[in-house]
Amino acid sequence: MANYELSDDSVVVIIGSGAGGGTLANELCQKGVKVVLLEAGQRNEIEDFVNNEWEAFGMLSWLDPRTTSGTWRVHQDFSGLPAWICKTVGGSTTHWAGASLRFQEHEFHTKTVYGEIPGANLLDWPITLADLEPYYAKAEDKMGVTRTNGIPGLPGNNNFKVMEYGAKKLGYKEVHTGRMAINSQPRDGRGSCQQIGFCFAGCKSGAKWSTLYTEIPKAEATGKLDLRPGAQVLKISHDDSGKVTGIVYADGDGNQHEQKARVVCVAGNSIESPRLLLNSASGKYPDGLANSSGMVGKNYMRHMTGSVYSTFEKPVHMYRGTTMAGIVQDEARLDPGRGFVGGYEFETLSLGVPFMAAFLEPGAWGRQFAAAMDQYSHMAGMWIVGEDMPQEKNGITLNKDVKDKYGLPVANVHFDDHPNDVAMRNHAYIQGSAIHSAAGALESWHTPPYPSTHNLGTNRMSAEAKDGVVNKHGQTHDIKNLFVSDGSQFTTGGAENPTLTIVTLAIRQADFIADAMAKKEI
Amino acid sequence: MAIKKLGRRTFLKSASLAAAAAAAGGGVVIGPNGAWALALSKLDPATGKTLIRMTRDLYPHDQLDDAPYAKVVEALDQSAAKDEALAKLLTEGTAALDKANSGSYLKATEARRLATLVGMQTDPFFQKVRGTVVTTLYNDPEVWKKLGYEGSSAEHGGYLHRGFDDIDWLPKQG
Repeated sequence: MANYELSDDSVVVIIGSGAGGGTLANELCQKGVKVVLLEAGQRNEIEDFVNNEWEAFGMLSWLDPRTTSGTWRVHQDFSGLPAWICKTVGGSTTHWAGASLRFQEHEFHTKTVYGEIPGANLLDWPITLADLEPYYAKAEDKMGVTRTNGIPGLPGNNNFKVMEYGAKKLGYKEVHTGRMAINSQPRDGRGSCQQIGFCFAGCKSGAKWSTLYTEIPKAEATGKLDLRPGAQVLKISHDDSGKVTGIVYADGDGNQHEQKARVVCVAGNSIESPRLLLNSASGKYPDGLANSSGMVGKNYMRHMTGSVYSTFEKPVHMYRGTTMAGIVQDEARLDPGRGFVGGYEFETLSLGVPFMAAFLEPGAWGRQFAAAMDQYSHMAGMWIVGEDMPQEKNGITLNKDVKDKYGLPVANVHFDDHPNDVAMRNHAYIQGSAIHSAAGALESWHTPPYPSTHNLGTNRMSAEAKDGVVNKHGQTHDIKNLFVSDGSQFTTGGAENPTLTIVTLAIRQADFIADAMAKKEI
Repeated sequence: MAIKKLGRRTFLKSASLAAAAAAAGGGVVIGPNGAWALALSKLDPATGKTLIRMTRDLYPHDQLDDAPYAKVVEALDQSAAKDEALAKLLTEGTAALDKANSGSYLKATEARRLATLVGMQTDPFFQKVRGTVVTTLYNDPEVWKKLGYEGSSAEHGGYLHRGFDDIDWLPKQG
């Protein structure tokens, strides 16, 4: 492992070690580029993971203060926890479920395809599916996605079998155990899935892809990576010409350091990345870095989500095995005839008793709720995840009234559902209940969205500098040696779980950065 | 843990537990037939008993005895021992429960108790107790067993050979 000087201005600094940052770091290191990878969290390894929901949540989650506003239910029930994402080496790839779906072609051109949707700030991506296909292929191979590269699908667990039965009964056709970055057979030095459950608590077998034990050790093996856990980046610095020159971070002891850099890549997820750009405001950039468009922090998307949990006469034991064990894709299609634009997926989901109590119907109490919990072993569950509308008013702003331990304003996350999101969610609740009902459900609960796991769009990609923050390579329009490398680049969200696309963009971005460095363009 | 599951023969030992708790400034609540004892370090026994009833009213599981609810109250008591404001909130909250029920929440009918709780749903006292039940009662491995949740599985090799796909009641797809 490398150990670069703080004064070494030839390094690429990457902020965040998750799907975007962790992948980008490895890709650059493989090309011989010197990388300093800063991660705010600690390095928890597989042996540290615990099959205990609250304990794992405490170990892996980003729990630093944040605030919320808006009409979304999360503001009411979990006002200090807008997002369920991670602060640990590997970022949210420690916590993610593993679903790895490509965007559909039309999802790159929603402004053109969907037309004007009142209240929505739709924009076409400056790239197409064809641009990404070779990189999607590389990402799927890297991550070992099932049903690609000749890798068989995972076996279906009880929860999947219930969903599969009901879905097929209803006539749904695209029903299978998913495209998952979880080994169904040993691959890339990692074993196959042991059906442990607890995918959200960190995979104890390492069958699920996470940058923690794939990209990062591979990058370390090149001798080019300097990984610094416990490093909270406070500010990005720039010179008089406007180019970024490095970053200021606080180490685990709270001591502040300035690391010089040739290139800075921000990959702190869609809340911290815009917060950092905004907190880096200066005389030259009074509205924050890379914010000439005013779009930094705007257009926050979190996917239209919800869950359906149903009780059955006989046991299901949904918690046994892969948390996201299968998918129904028929509703992901383009079909405005349903009363909304965009599409959605059904994906099985299970929560253990501790999280079910917290999330099934937040705030609920009394005999009806307790009776549902009594039926826990007879429950099946599914998550609904679909494209939500970007809205300029939804986003991340600095809350000057609440400061973190370094004295910096925390992020406030504002979100209001768009009517299209509501229409889609209602459709999905009805269809999801129908799936379970077709398999014999006695009762279904329509669980509201959890704190956001898919955080997108707050530094969006655009063809024109006036419309967004970064160009088609994730390079900021305003500052050529400043990049965004996470899901905040997404112009729109698609119906698909975002990680595969984040990894794909990171691989593509690494090619661009290495090439531009070689040509001395940055 | 101050919650002790007591066998018949160990029941008498709860006297020493009570003495220890009393010395610490709290008290002790002993379950029916001495099945369990809750030693309180801050709250008084009457408050403890009322809170046990309240936590059960919030999340009533007939298949559970009072022991897991007493553990919730233990968690509240331990927090209160370190937080005067919380101790006050809990003491005044239970007093309000009694006041709304002719002096005794414990002696009131279930319907009346529930009406009282509905009336205070947005109060900090209610919110604190309810939130603590959610994160404590449902985080108790004894409760998991009753609800049919098997807890940690990695050390058992996961469910690959332990029934991840053992559902046998779905009809044949036709």
